[in-house]
Amino acid sequence: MTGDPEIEDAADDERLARVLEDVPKGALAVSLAAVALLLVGWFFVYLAIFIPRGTVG
Amino acid sequence: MPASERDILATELRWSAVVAGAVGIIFGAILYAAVALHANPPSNIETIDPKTLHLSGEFTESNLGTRVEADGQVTTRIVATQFTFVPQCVVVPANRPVTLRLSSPDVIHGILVTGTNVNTMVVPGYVAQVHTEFTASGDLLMPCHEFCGLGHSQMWATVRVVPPESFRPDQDGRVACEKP
Repeated sequence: MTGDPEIEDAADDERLARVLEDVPKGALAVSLAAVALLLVGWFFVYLAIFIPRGTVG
Repeated sequence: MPASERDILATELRWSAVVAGAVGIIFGAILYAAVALHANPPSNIETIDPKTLHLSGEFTESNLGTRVEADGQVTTRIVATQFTFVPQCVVVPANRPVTLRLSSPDVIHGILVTGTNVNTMVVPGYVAQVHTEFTASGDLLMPCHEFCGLGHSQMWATVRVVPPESFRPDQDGRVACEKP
């Protein structure tokens, strides 16, 4: 904190640039975890409940 | 250095491939169940006159319940009416194809058999038909699952699945629950 707005803005830009480098990785990790959980839940219902309940038509 | 537009585009394309793969896997599983295992929604379209349901045809009272047809096919006929199933208990054999046929003389009902994939609407004017095979012996609850009036919560029946050796049709091919 220097008190000079221009110097502080420049520092914020640098920090922002560093954070942005990691943003795609974090977003991908969260998205992969969410989709993986969805698939695991869907296949649990499909294999443990739907298929053992037998054929119908 | 922030990710370039090119990097972001590449990431989005990779992510699209992941999502398309997930959708493809689920779609493949659904197709496998439908084509290889014949797990399909009941789709029988067959009309019947609800006004004469109890007077003539296959849903007269004496023809209800389970019957082994001449070709060996096990067929169970049930009338769903406010607020009971007729009969209230049906016997079916385990590990053998069974056809359930239901109709309604009054309002829309629906049935499911607990622990199985049997689930269909019973609409007046139509015959609801479900083919299935019960794999475990025991008494299964079959409630009405479509609100049909004030007595809806009292409307349920029992599907008694018995081992094949205990499934003994009489000379007419009929099998009924023993009277309590």
